[in-house]
Formats: sequence, C-alpha cells, structure tokens
Amino acid sequence: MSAGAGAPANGLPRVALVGPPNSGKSTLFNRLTGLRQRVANYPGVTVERKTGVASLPTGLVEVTDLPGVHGLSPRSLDQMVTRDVLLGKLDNGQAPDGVVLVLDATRLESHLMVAEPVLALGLPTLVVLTMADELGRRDGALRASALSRELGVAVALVDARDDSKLETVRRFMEALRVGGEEARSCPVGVFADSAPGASDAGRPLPVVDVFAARRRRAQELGRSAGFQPPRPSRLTRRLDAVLLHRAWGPLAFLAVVVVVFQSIFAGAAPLMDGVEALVAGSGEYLAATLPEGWFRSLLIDGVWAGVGSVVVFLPQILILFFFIAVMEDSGYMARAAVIADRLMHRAGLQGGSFLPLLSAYACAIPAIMSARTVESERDRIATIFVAPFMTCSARLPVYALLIAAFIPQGPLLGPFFGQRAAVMLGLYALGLVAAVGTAALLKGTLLRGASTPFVMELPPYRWPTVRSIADRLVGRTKVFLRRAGKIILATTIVLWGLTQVPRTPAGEPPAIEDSALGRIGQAIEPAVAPMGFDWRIGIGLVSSLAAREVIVGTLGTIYGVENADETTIELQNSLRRDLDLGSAVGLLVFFVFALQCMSTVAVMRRETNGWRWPALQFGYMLALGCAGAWAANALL
Amino acid sequence: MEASQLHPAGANVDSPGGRSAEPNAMTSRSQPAPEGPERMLADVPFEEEVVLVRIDMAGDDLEPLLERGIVPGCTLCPVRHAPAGGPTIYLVDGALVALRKETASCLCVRSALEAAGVLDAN
Repeated sequence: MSAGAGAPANGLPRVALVGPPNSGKSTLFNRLTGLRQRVANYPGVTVERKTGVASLPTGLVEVTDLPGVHGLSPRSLDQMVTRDVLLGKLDNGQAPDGVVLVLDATRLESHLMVAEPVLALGLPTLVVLTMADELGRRDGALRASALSRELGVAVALVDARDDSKLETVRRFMEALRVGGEEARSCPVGVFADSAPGASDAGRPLPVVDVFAARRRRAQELGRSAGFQPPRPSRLTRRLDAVLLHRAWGPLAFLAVVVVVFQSIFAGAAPLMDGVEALVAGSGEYLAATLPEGWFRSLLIDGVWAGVGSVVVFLPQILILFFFIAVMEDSGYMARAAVIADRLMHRAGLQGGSFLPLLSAYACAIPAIMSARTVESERDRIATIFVAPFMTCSARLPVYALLIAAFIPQGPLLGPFFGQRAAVMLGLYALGLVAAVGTAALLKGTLLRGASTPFVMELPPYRWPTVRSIADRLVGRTKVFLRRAGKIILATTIVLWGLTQVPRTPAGEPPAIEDSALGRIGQAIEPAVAPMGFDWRIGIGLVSSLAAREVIVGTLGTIYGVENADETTIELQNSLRRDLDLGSAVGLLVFFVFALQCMSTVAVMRRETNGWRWPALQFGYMLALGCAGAWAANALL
Repeated sequence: MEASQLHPAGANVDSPGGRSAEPNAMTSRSQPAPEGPERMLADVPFEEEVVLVRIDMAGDDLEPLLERGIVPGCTLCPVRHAPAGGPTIYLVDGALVALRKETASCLCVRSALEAAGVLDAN
C-alpha cells in the first residue's frame, strides 16, 4: 500500500457504501463498479480500503466499500475507520460527497439502528434496502415511500443481485455529479429523540439507554413504513435442523473440512504441476533466448524462481478462497464458527478463528488476511500469531525430501498406514499442538483479558451467485499476488546476489562455498552445529527464509544436483551422507516450528500495523525450532 | 414467534434452575405484578419467548450485544444448542444469534407473557 492509498486525488465525486455485515453491501459494490476496483489499507491501520469507479452516462464516480459495521462507536478498527471516513478525518480531510446506506430489508428494524448514527451526520444519503426479493418471498412487506417520508431521504428497495433494479442508486450518484433532488442532504433530526446520548440534565445517558431509545425509534419507523417482518425462513430452519444437529452437525462439519482439505491438496496438485511446468518451460525458453551472463542469471535464477515460487501456490489459494466465498455467501460459515467455538474456546480462541487456521494448512498468508473476520482484537492477534504453526503446503516438499531420505518405506498399521505416513501425520500433529499451546500461552500472558462475549449472527441460508464468488476470487487473488509476490521476489533476488559475489578472477560467479552466501553459511555453522547441521544446511536455512521450499533447490545447487526436487534420489543420497537420523529429524522439527517465510512476516507486519508482533513471532518460532532440533539431535 | 406458539403460560418462570431477582414479587398470572419474576437467559428452556430486562455485564463488553439489537425490551427465544456443547442459538427479534452460556448468564429476562401482562395491566 502506498502512503497515499487513503487519499484520492482524482477529483471524482465520492460515494461511501455503509451498512452492517451481511446486508448485501459488497454485492452492491461489485455491481456498481465491476472489475474497476482496487484494495489497499487505510494509512496506519489494517482496515482494507476497497474503492472502485462507477461509470455513469455523465461521467465517473468513485465508490468506497466501507467495512461492514454495526454502529459508529470506536470499539473496533472497522467502526473507527468508517466513522473517520464519514467525518472526513481520513481521505485528505474530505468527507464523502454522498453516502449509500445499505440495509437488509428483511431485518429492517434492527438495521435501522445502524442508520441512526449515519443519518445524524447530515450527508446526502440514499438508503438502499436490499433483499427485496427475499422479503416478498417470505411474505414480508414495507413501503419504501413511507420510510423515505419519515427519514427525509430517498429510499430504494432493491435486489442487489439484479442489475436492472439499481437504477435509483445510479440516479443518486448522477445527482451527486450534476446536482439534483436525489442528492439532497439528510435532515439530522430524524432520530433526534434517540440520538443525543445525553439526558436533559446534560449528563451522558448510559449506553444501554441510548441503544434502547434507538431501538424504539427504529420500531416506530418500521411501523410507519408498514413493515411486516418476513416469516422465518423454512429453508434455514430445515437446514439448521441437520447442519446444527447434535450428531449430523459435527459430521457435516467434518465432511466440509475434509472436502476443503482434500481439494486444496489433491484437487490442486495437477493444477500446481501445470503452473510449475509453465513457469519452468517459460524460464527455459528465456534461458535459451537470452545471451549467457549476469542478466540472464538474474532473470532466470532470481526473478523467475521468485515469481514461480509464489504463483505455484495460486491454484491452492484460489480453491481455498472459492470455498471461503461459498461458505460465507451461503451462510454456512457462521454455523461452522458456532460448531467450532467450543473447541477453539478451550485453546483461548473463538469459533471465528477456525477458518483462518484451517486456511493456514494451505498457506499462512491468506489465513492471516482472513483473520480480519475475528471481531475481538486479542483473539485476532492470537489467531494470526499461531496460524504459521499449521503445516502449510510450502513445508511439504521439505518433509517429503527428508522423509524419503531417512524414514524406511514399511508398513506400520496394516498396508494402508506406513511409517512414512505416520511421520508425516506426526509433523502435522506437532504443528497443531504448538499452535494450541502457543494460543493458550498468549491468552494467559501478553493477550490476557476477560473473555470477549461471542456474539455470532447466523444469516439465513442463501444460494451463492457465480458472479459474487468470481468477483471475490479475482479481488483476493490480486491482493495475494501483490502482497506475497513483492517480498518473495525481493528476497530471492537478494539471495541470488549473494551467490554471485565475489566474482572469480575470470569474472565468473564463485563456487557456492566461496560465495557470500556460502560464507554466511560457514559463519553460522557454529550456531547450527549443536542441531547436527553443517554449513550446507546452514545455507539452506538462510535461503529458505524466502520460502521454506527454497531449501530443496538450494541444497540441489550446493550438492551439484541439477533440477533437484524432493523426489531426486541423488539429492536424498547426498543428504544421507551429511545428516544422521537425529539431525534429519531435527531438521524436520526445525521446519515444523521456525517461521521460514518472509512473506508471512511481511503480511503479519501489515496486519498488526508494526514490527512488534512479527518480530516476537519470528523470534519465538525460531527459538522453538532451534530447541526442538537440538533436542531431536541429542535424543536420537 | 407468535404468542400462540409459546410454551404454555410461561410455565418455567419458577423453574428450579431459574434465578429470581425479586422472589417476593412473584404473583399469579391473573394479577401481574409490575415487576415479573426475572431469570437469566441461560436458564430459559427452548421455545419459551422472553423479554430482556437488563444486562449484567461490564461496559466494554456490552456494545457487541447492543449493536445486534440485544437491548432491554427485545424478545429472545432459545431455539437450539450448537452441537458438542457449543453456544446456544436464540431468535432475537426475528434474527438468529449464537451466544455462549457465560454471556446468556448475564442477560436478565422475564417471560414474554408476563411482560405483555404488565403492559396490559398498565
């Protein structure tokens, strides 16, 4: 994110979309802006700033999708940012030119409570009531015109999934551009009897009284608008009877977890092979095309290797985000969080932490990003702190190489569960135990505090739409590639540079042991020797800071094995010469614990808005890794 | 939920697990007292509709509840437990909300029928 990400300077009129979570706000945003979107963080905070441009007959309007909020009190980062944007404290001190307040028509009265602090700002406002189709289908009713009269602003009843019904929204934005009745300022007295937050005597009202007054006014408005609440959703009741059933619920949950897990690993494998082949093929083509020299080496061994090591995970990331999008849009995600809550609560976390931790089995980066859905800040920090302990796919090539080299191929429990599988499972379990133990440790020390109330709304089940899922996949993929790609590219280029100097008298790159990287390895050998590692493994550990799987290629370079991967027999034989069982298991344990991934550190810094947590996380995981490797080497 | 679907006549207001803030105030349903018997939400059986009277919780923790419409005067009805002893799911003014037992134990409620009776009497 650039420092100016929060400071639009394009001169376009600006509209902010505000509303509670699950009100259809993001769907409306995607409809209005199409793919003309960009995502950044607000300066100094970790809240995403999603902006896009809506194209109207008379010109363009910038649309900002603010985070879903239940109010404007500064109790969470999302609410603080939303309030500051609307008050003009961000975005170069300019309040938006207009506000589109998005509320769920099926929950009119409770969502009108969110409207009060927004309308009280007096900005030109359009109230958009979404889910009109659902309201009608479930025999609910309301008169938008009556509500408009009561609120003093235009009210549109729409189905955000249906483009043809968004004309009112476009007219409002048009009026902001050229001036018009639709863009009139909101009268601030609508909630006057509930809004002040102060008693007649001038003392602040207790917060409960403020909300109680707000609720009463919202109910009055609902009555005036002829609001007939929809009958409870039959589909939701029937599905919940199964998906939250004492026996079937956990089974369905387990089935979902298995399907997600299996798809990420087995389903993504051919796609990942395809991407890998594409990167390798294009690299070979470039290598054959370009003249030999430092530039070719930089491009192929630095840039191409760096880009390749990120994009190879793209299929897994896409599959993961596909499932997240389907579960969120369908309403199952909230149920999964409720089912997982007890288990997560025991580890000091909450149900909302479950999915980020599950995602971390693919890659810690999207997992850390998806932890934004955890409402409690303490729980969010704990979740992202422990996420890198879950066994991500980048560890798999390292595990596969060492297990193949050191663990005999033999049955353990019948023909279906061998010794190698048992070791692999043990490594997964070790990571999980470390995550749970660390979460408990954090919640008992640095993140100690009274347990935050777990309040989870369960939206009605809805069919996800292809367009909504596609929009989110594209958006998340762009964010992943930009955030992870930059750091991994930079690190691989630096590592490449270290293998190129000092040049030999003939001007050639040095042998690996004579290179700057080799010397670093030799310098750190005394530090890694207690774990049973020599300078070669030391170099591997340094190079794998870029990404864990980089160690495989680095060891291939050091041992002079061309095109090495985890299945290369020659590389396995070389490792057996330099490592014994104790140090090999030590290396495995080191990779279970240590945070060998600079992209994760970079994303952690962004998500915690500083270096304190990533530095602590890196040091803690490194200490655990070294201690674990030393213990394994000493004991075996 | 319609009143006709409720558990008969707030039968659990005197349930053994229930906690009454004002035990002397309990009266027969034909003569509703200004203050009906109060219990904690965690003690309310399934399908019984209750009205929130007050929240016994520290200020910082209150807002997530208040913002989701869990304010004094709202109606709550426990509809099911999450599996494996997880949170309980309540119908709150028509929306489904999951609360842990420790949170539900801070919400002081009164039977919806009692509350309606109080209103009628007034």
